Parts: sequence; C-alpha cells; structure tokens
Amino acid sequence: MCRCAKMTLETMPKKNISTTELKHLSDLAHLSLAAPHLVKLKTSLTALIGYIGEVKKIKLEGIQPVAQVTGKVNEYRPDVITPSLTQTQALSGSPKPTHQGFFVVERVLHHEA
Amino acid sequence: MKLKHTFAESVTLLQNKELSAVELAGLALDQAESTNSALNAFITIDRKTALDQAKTADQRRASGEIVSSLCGLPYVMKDVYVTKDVTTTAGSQVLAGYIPPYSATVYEKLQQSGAVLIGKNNQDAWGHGGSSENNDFGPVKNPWNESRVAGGSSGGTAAALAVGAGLFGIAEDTGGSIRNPASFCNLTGLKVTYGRVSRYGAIAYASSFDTVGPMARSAQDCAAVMEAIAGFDSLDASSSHEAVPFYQRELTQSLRGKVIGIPKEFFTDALNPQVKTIVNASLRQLEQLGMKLTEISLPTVKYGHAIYYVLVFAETSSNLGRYDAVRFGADRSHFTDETIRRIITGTFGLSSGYYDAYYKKAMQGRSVLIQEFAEAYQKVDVIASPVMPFPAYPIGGIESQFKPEDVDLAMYLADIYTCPANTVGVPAISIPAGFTKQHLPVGLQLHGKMFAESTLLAIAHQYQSVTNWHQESPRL
Repeated sequence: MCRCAKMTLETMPKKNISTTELKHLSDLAHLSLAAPHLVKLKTSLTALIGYIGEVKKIKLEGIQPVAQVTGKVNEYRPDVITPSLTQTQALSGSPKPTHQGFFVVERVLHHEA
Repeated sequence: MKLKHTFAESVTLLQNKELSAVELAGLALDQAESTNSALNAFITIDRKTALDQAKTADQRRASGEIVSSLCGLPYVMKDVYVTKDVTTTAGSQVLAGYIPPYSATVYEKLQQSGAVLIGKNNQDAWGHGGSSENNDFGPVKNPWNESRVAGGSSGGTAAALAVGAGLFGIAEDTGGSIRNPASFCNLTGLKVTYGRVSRYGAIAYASSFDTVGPMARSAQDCAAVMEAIAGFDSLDASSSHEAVPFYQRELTQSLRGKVIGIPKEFFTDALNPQVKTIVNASLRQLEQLGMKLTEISLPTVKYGHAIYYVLVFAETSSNLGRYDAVRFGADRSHFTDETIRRIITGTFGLSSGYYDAYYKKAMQGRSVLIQEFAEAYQKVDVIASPVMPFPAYPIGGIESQFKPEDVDLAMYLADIYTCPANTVGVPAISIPAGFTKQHLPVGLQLHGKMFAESTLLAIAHQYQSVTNWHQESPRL
C-alpha cells in the first residue's frame, strides 16, 4: 500500500467539526441526517477536512485564483430559438404526478405565526 | 459465442461484408449478459436498442453510404451519460429507472457514426470513488481476479471491455476515473484535454474537471473513437474551437528526440515496488523508441490532492443540489454515505467563514499547479508517472491498509497520480505496461500538453507496436 499516503495522514493537522457545525452544513446542503449518521460523519469529516486543509500550507502571495482551465471568457451563440423538449418530454421525469402541465413542488412560502 | 475479433478486425469484416453489425452486436450482447453475474459491469444491457442500432448500421453500409469506421461496432458507455429512451442512473438510486428525454452529445455523435450501444456500465455513484464499490448497484469485479476491484469510477466500462462485451467504451474522467480502471483492467484509457469533447449530457460531478473520453484495447482504437467524438459543441460553452486532428494518421509521427519528464515527486520510495519496476521498464522501452528521459520537479504537486478535493467537493455540492425530486429522480435521502460526505465537505469549503481558507486558497493553488506544468512543458513534451500507486486491491480491502480513523481517506489518497491532470486540464493516457507477480495489470501514465492527445496516442501506439501487454486478456 501507498506509504507516502500514510506519512501524509500521520502528520496532517486535524480540525474538529462540531455537531452544531455539521447540522448547519447539512441544512445548507438540504440533507436531513439522523443523529447516528451525524456522529459517524463527524469522525470522517474531521479527517477529511484536516487533509484538505493542506491547501493552507501553499505559498500563494499575489497568486490569482482560477475557476476553470480553458481561459475562455464568454462563448456566444446566435440569438435564435432552436428546437427544444416538448412540455410532455420535459415533464416526463417527474417523480410525482404533474398538475395541469406543471411540476408539483413543496410549498416554500408560509404565513408568519 | 464470444466476441473475439479486435476493433480493427471487426472494421475489416464489416467492410468486406463477412460479418454484419447485427451479428457483432449479438456476440457482444451475449458476452455482456453471460459475464454480468460474475462482474456486475452493466447496470443496463439493452438488447433491443443495440439490435435496432445494428440493423440501421447494416442498412447504412448496404446502401453504399460512406460511413465512419465505427459504423456497426459495438460499444459500451458509462451510465453517467444521458441516453434518450435508455435508462440512465449515474450509479445512484436517486436516478434509478430514470429515462432521459434527450441525449448527451457524445451519444448523438456515436449514433451519427453508426456505432452500436450494447449497454450502460456500472460505476461509483456520480463518479464519487476510485473502485466502483461505492454505488447502489453492487461493486464491479475485476475480470483479472474477481475478488478484486475493477478500479473506478468507470470500473464497469473497463471490466466490460476487458472481457469483450464491446470494442470500445466511453467513460468519464474527473480525477482519474478513466485511467484508474484502465490500468487495473489492462486497457488503454485517454483522459482528454478539458474542453476537447463536449460534456453536454454528461451528468455533472465537478464541472471544471469533468472530461469525456475513450477506453479501448489499444491506442489505435482510442484514436479512431476520438475522431468521432472530439470537437466544439454549441451546447457546451466550455468545449473548444481547437481543430480536431486526424488522430489515426498521426499515430506514426516520429518520436525521435521527444523528451519525457519524470517528476521526482512521483517516483519516491513510497511507490509499490512492483509498480515502480514495471513503470521504469516501460520508460526504458520508450527510450529505445528514440525518446529522452529527464528528471523534473513539480513542487506543488504534493498539495495537488488537497487542491483537487477542495474544488471537486465544492463543485459536486453545487451540482448535486439539483436533485430535489421535482423534475426527476428520488429525493436526497437516497444519496450514499460517500456522496453525503462529499456534498457536506464541499458545502463546508464554500460556506461563510471557510471560503477564504479553503475554496479560494485551492483556486489559487490551482493557478500555481497550472503554472508549474506550463513551465515543465517548456522543457519536456510529456510527463510520466504511474497511474495508480498499487495494483487492484481486494474488494473492501483498501481499508485494511489504513488506521481506522483514516479509512475514509484511503480512497482519496489512491488518486494521487491521476488528480493533477484534471486540476491542470491537460490530457493524460493510461497504457498497459505489464503485470505483477499475482498477474494483475499495471499501467503507465503519460501527461501531454494542452490538446496534445495526438502525441500521447502516438507514443502509446508505438509502445504497443513493440510490446504485447495490451493484447493480454483475462480468462472470462
């Protein structure tokens, strides 16, 4: 097995993730995780986040961040309508019955108590 | 009966009308079906679609139409591409039974060329893994030793091709997902330059890293596939306008004097000794083909892994945000533990208070890495490394090599040699280079300059014309 990997692991810094932080992150990611799941995740995330924290060791003064590698700025196409999916096709993947040609979604607006 | 003909033999047989596309498809379908219980390489084997496409291919050839060499050739495709009317899952229960209303550009292009889709391959869910164990459809078994992993995330494609259930495959590579299983299953796999092949209709893992590429028994086969799939696509704004070379014609270009850089960071004592011996022997063989070897240094590559994972987890947390059980798929409770871990870690790196410390730093680190590769390519034509630090390991077995608290990192650490190409955007190829004492395949990896796939394919082709590792097949 890869001994280089082991050496990296043994010397890496650990950042402990609290249950409150984990709960906050799962809310942001729209994941509802049960308590036993959260406990299990906490351990593995602490190791993982410690490992990716290695990025803090790189000398980065004056370096510009990049979000992609193509160097492209914009890609335009002619502003004309092209064939697209029919409404039936677009709705065909809906896991719930559709309503009058629309997807059915959870309510997002509620009255204040 | 088993599909025993090679890609080139099949093209000749089809051209000479000694074999029909329907007969070829039948052989590939039989092999796919008879090996699937042992290997679990396919999520969907679609006999009807395959035979319909094969009939069309036969009609096109019979009508005298000038067709692509791919017309009538059976192929397999990772289940990460949407294929109109053919079930597409990305290896996840979230999309179980999903039938897309449109097709990926790569599938459209292959249909235009007349190639025949045999089935959709098992994989790590969403590409999240390097062993094809991490999915909702069971692990893919390695045809060279069924107790071992096939690699991943495109493990099903590799396993299927190794046993002749298709003559080429379309896989996807975000951090090694074509090269890793190619090396574990003795195939040639090409991770293309970012933007070389359209990503339209490829279910996104990490959008600035994802690449669509071929896997096959030889570099020559990959070159033929590349001619059919590469090129600009108005449906993928990140695809390139760079002209597509005649890859097959360039296979025999002179390699004399080309320089191979060997990064000292990739060849330390830490590498599995058998892998190291095999990779070194293959490099000496390339020297005999007239190429020169020189040591180079890529100092930031030791952080390449951390840079890669901060960014891909962030991108995957964003990409998988679309699975809300409204337009398609099941709800978010169906993600595997591994996918949840990646989404949460990505969300962490992007969240307020951590963005500057993780995501921004990783984006800056990516700049440094791009710069280091660019500087190296001033002095060398290609950069060599192993593909994987070790040969295929027992299913479930990677964990036994690590301390319990680090088990979850093991799969990430296995990607150490393959991630940098995706972070930088350059092409890289995995070439069969030999076997361990346990008769497990080992691959050599070569990285090229941006859009220099033809150089990589030429080196691999000429290496394959003086070696026969790539011709070895498993018993199945």
